[in-house]
Amino acid sequence: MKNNLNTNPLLLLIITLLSCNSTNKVTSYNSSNHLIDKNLSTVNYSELDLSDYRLEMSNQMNEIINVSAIEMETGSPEGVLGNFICDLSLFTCISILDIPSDFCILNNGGFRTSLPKGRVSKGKIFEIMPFDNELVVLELNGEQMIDLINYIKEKSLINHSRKAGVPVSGIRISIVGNEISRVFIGIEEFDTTKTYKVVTTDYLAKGGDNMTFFKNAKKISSTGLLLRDAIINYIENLSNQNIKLNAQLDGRIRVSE
Amino acid sequence: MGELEYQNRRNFIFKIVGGFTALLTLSSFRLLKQKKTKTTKITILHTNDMHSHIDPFDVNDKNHPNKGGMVRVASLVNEIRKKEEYVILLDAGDIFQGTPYFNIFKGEVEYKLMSAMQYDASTLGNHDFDNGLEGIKNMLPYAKFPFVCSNYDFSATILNNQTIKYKIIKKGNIKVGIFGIGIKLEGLVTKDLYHQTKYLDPYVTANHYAKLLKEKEKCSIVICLSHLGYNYEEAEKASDINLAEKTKNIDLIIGGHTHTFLEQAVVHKNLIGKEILINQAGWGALNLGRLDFYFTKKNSQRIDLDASTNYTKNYAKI
Repeated sequence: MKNNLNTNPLLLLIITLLSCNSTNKVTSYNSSNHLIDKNLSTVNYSELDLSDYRLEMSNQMNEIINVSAIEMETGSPEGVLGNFICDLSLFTCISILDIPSDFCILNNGGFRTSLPKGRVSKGKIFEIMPFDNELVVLELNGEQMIDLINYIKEKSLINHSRKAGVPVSGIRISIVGNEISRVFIGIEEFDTTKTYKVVTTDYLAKGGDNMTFFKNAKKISSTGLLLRDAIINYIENLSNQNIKLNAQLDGRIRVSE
Repeated sequence: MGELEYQNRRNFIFKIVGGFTALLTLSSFRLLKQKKTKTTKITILHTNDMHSHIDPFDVNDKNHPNKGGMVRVASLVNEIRKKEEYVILLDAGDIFQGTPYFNIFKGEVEYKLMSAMQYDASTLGNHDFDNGLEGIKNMLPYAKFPFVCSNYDFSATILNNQTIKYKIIKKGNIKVGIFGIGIKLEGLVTKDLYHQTKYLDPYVTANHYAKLLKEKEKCSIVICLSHLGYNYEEAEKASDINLAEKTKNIDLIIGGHTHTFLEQAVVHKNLIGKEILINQAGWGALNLGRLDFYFTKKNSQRIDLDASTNYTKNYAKI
């Protein structure tokens, strides 16, 4: 073999040069990410004409459906936006859909932006709740309820992450230090021997956002109503009664030392 | 990057050549090499988590007033393409969901615009599954670029053969290898939406395709499009940092999912202590990630970390 190679130096040289060709290496690099700000043109330089899509969009989305008296944001252990949406979800199930329900639990990760003060367009509600999640009602036993309450406790004790806090309605939890102090469902103290009917979304009911306590829960009702549509309907109804949007923090989840 | 490997290879070759030929051959080889020295610049542009933000954020938006927008990214990419010969445009997933464009048109506008912008490849993020596998399949005809998904096994689903495991892009005489690593869907996406999609270990899969692209396909640079997320408080959770530390043969990880804004790519060490770059471009088409790589066959091999940046504001936060 060695002998063979010795007789063909030219061949080896060619092979060497060819292999050099395939070993281009990075010798240096620059990295600097660009900000996309208003100095850049919004005139679309691609060949795609977006005008038909935009027209259809604005027809559907720019409609002003009400006015909000305040800006609503998510928060931990409580946020105004979460209180507002959970309250209207529970109200919708009990009073509009006629489904007996005790309380409501949703997730802050599902609210994708805040509700601005002032005019509220239909498109803004799509931005807050872009997901096609359906309202459902489940029944939880005492054990599952304890898991749910502990889940709320854990998330309420953090307040730095955008996923902190759990939006609820119809349930009041007092946390002292790291322990659950008192829990009320409606106006009655939580009873581990009872079952409770909880309003949530199909996404969370299937264990989304690690709500594992829902996995074996009995499903009472699929409402067929998207959470987003429930929000839009509620806001439009208030508008028909000349009522601006409003909500407040009321200590439904209370954390103290 | 790859300096040691190159030197070893050269030394090895010189040893053989020196072992049986006269010095004359060696010097003529050097002469030939000098003549062939040429630097090639390749510009990698990338986005992630654009979340259907075709247009800029609203002027009244609290956090990003009148910022971002895919149409603006399109004009910036267009400007860069005029200046640079070799541009590669990539996305790291979560193209879908976030504005009514997606609710009304189901992804058609996003894919059509990205096709018009001449994206070279994307991978899938968890929100791209929001309308199920069918929701992806129905939109694929609008995408003129491939989806590179290396660790989602779609073979038992309707997406079988609709995505690819890796892609090689040739620019000049440079081969660029690209593969894609997705996030674990269980617990993040409803099972009804991903059905029989099998999730393969991200690190094992990444090592497999990175080796294939580097060693067998002889790519000069290997890029991983990742939707794992940059980093987590839970140290063990699969992330780009962990991916970097548990693999070799990857040169650049283009990340997503955690909506991480970086001023520039960050340097980490891989499994065998070699440098690896990680970059991510925020979300909502608020940033365009950029790396310019210079490739050369020159003898002097020096990694030049030019961290120059014209930023006035610290923008590195999640």
